[in-house]
Amino acid sequence: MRRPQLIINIAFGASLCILLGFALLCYERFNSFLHYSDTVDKSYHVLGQLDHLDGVLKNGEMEERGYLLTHDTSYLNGFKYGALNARPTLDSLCKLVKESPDRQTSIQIMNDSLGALFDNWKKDIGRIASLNPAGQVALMKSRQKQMDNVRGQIKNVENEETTFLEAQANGKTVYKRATPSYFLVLILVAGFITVLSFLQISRELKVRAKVQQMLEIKLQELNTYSLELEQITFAASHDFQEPLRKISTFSNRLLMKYSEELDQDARMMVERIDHSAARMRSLLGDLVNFSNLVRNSEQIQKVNLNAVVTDVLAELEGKIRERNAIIHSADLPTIRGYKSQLHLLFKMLLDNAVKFGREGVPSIVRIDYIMVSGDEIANGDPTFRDRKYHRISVEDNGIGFSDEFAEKMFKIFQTLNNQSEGYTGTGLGLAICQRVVVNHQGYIRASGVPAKSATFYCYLATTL
Amino acid sequence: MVKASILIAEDDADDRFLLQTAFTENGYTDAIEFVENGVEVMNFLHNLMVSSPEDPDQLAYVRPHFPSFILLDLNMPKKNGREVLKEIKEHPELKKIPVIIFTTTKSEIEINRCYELGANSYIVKPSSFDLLLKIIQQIRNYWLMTSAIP
Repeated sequence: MRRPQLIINIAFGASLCILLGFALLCYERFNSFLHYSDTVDKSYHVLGQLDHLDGVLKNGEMEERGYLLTHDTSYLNGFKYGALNARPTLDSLCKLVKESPDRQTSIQIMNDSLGALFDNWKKDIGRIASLNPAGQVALMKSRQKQMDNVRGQIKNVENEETTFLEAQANGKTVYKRATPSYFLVLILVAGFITVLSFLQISRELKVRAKVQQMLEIKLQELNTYSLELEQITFAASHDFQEPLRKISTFSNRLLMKYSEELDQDARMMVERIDHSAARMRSLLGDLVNFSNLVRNSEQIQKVNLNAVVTDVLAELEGKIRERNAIIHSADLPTIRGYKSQLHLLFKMLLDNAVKFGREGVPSIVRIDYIMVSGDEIANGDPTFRDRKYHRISVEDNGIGFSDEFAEKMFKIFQTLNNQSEGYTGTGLGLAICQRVVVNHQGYIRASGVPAKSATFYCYLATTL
Repeated sequence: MVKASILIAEDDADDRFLLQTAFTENGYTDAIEFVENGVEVMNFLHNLMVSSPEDPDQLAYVRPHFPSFILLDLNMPKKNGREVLKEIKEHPELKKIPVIIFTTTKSEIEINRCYELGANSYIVKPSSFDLLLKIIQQIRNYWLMTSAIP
């Protein structure tokens, strides 16, 4: 991955993590505050209940004394009511502290003592009036002791609850003090990362804007070039042809009109002029073909290659007959492609195959077809590898060539044979073939054996 | 022998010479009128107008004065062949004159465009004098002898 991209990815990853951290922290903080307020609530409730118990005890004592003084049992009704009321209080106390076993134990102890106290007390109330004053004092004293004990236990529970509350408050303070510093650190880190990624992104954008501008300029240049190429093509197809045509016409006229006056030598010279003009004309024709291929304005359509071969053979009929050539063609597929370009491809290949026959040997040309995977071509270039290709091969038994020239043949105006050897070519035929296969997202290669054979393999993309 | 008048629009002096020679060599003594660009073609045709038989104050084209056919080059200065072709074929009277495009360009697009504009024939200039002789013979024979002028 490119470095700026990596930095941006990391920065955004970190920002996301920090954001998640914030969310988690806030959630936790909220939960702990809720828990704390819950605990405090319960503790105050416990303290209130204890206070209430203390009240119940005092009330009971007061009622008992009232009863003893007046012997009025209406005091005892209130007493009973107070003693009964202590039960639910104890139950709710037990419930309030159920999550901390320590406090539960001390409450249990207090609870037991209270229960015993109340039981005794109820029993004593029944007989206290019938006792003599000394007995009454003794009973009262013993209960006083028991009651002090219970009070001590209540106090104990109360102390425990207060300590617990203080511990909670302390924890909260520490936590409260630590939280803002966490937040501060996180915010600083997040801010730093944001600034960093902002700088990185803006720098990247600047680079991109510059590249885009450059591309636009290049595109403009390219458009100009292509326009100029078009003009050159037009000039080649028209303006350049005119003088050539005149050279031919006048030399032809010269030969006709002055045939008697011209000697052999002069006639030969004029013929050479004519021949050169004809050659130049065919060069220009191929150049126009080639530049039209580069522009490639044709529409893709379904092309039956068998029909294309039939057309081309009809076109080359004269040459084929002249060379006594035999053409074998396998059954070819119908593919998606540019019809006139494929026509040109077959024409060039077959023309070459027939043209470069060996003297005295009848030309035999084979056209074969097979579907192959892209592994076969272009040295395992990954852009080719994963595709399927139509492979069309054209093999002849002509003069062949040495494989060391296999690459060179496809360059513009490169020929392997001297014109004087009798093999005439414009040097553009194979360049045109290459351009056609490139337009079909394909590849062309050649292999040959000198004085034996030449084979051209065209790979045309199936995914066009 | 039939003697016709032929208008040839050709900016190239060599081609004019070759055409003239071809006519002479074929033994034709037609009145050949050479013009060198599109503007001259239109001027030539305009000068053919005479007083209308119906209304003496009005100028009009009269059929017998028309050239038998026009040989028209496409690439000419001032006004090119396509413009001339269009103007002639859009004119209610002039469109009756057969126009034969005689040019170097053999691009399919150009040929189709010319036929769409109303060209009566399209001939690519040959590159041998033999062929030129034959072509002139054929054009003349066809447009003067074979085809019936409407």
